Amino acid sequence: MYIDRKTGAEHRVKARVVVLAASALESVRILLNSGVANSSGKVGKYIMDTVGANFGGQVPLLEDLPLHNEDGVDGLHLYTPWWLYKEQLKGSLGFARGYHFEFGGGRLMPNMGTAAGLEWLDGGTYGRKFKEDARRYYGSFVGFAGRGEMIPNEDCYAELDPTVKDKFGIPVLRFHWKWSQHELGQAEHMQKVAAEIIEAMGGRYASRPQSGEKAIKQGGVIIHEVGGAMMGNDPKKSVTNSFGQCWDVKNLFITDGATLCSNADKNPTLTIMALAWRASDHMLSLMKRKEL
Amino acid sequence: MSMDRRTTIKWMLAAATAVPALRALAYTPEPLARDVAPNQAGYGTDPNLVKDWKGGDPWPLTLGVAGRLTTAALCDLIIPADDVSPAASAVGVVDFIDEWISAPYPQQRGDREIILPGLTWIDAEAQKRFGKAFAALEPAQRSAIADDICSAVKAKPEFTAAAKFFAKFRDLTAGGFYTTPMGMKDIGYTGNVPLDHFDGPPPEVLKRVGLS
Repeated sequence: MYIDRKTGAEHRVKARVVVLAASALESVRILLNSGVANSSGKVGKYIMDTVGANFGGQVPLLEDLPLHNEDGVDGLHLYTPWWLYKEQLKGSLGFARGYHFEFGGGRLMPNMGTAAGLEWLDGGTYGRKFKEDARRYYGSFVGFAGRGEMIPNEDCYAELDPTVKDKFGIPVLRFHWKWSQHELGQAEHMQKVAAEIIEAMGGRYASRPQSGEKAIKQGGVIIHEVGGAMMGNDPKKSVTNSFGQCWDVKNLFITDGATLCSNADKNPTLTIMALAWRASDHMLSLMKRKEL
Repeated sequence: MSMDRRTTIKWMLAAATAVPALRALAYTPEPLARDVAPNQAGYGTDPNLVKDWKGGDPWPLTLGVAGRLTTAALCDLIIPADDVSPAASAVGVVDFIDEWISAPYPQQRGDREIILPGLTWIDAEAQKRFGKAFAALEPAQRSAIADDICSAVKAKPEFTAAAKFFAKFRDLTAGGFYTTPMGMKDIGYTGNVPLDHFDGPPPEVLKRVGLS
């Protein structure tokens, strides 16, 4: 059943197979409001986001460089994959799993931040001096975005809100969230390492690295929300099988991030697409065998 | 120079798509606005940028004649004309700031709470010290006030709030100015042009950073 957003009218459609892919948390919301596929009680449980913490600085060596076009040096992405496997094996890091850095800077197309907040470097200027400072510091900033793997835990879940509803009268989700020592440890480590790299470049930063608690981005901010309808091999502990097919409703498939039971440090979209492809192949073979 | 509304709104939205360098590089831009149902709190969808906007629509502007004069004087104190580029007001930064502080988004609402009392303060301070509105002061008189508030660290305790305002106003002025074609040229941005090949950084840059 669905509601026509423009007219408010309710419609019912029948289908041989239903594929739910409303984005992980909206799929969770639809399942919970529909009251299906939840004999395990796991719908809404183990939601995850990417661990995120940023750190930036300024490198005097990059001041006043000759004009040149640096379009393309930033963004998608300069990338450092996880490198501290051996240290982690020894247990010397204090957290499990890893993270990567996306880093950048350069003479990018100016935006609101390009000549903003220079006061920590120039002491606060205006006039011709300010224009000179803007030219001098342009392109001399570097930034590091640490992005890490979150381990699913019992304290991160979504459930139907008992009071808040959307404009159609349908309950919305409310969220519960708690990072473990692993994510907090990653965020702290990201800050420390980024600061060390900046120092090694002869650079400086406006404020010192922060604790994991302070540095870590709030759950949901990195917008890699996944989980909430985990796949698994045990119908008592998971919502779908390894093809995204719901244990309780054989012709209901989930093909978005809701079925993910881990969230690697890199963006989840390609994994979601691969799993959707795999689910589709399985669906077709079941249909050909008249099992759906 | 007076801008049409569509140009300043587009400019404001485009300029706002990235956050300052040191807080930036999150690679996850915040949405500026969202679809909001009539019975919900919020600011609704972004304005239709294809439309030819008239004044006061989609949201009313804030600065009146006096406010624009003060804003222009302060913009040009921060970014005056020099050999390289014109003054901030000459490329439409007054329109930009008026649009910015009038927009309904949370960041702009927050900035408005700093900018409007700040403009009131600086005119009152000009009256107190020199018996004229800020825009009517001589350059040396404007600088006398600016010298007291241009640095948050050096500002005396009684100028703490004014220094916070000045820093925000300087950020907005610079944001408006350096996102114009003339501002981009001034700061040394040479990108956003078609390239049939890319050779990487020029040799003199590699030499400077010890990579040649």
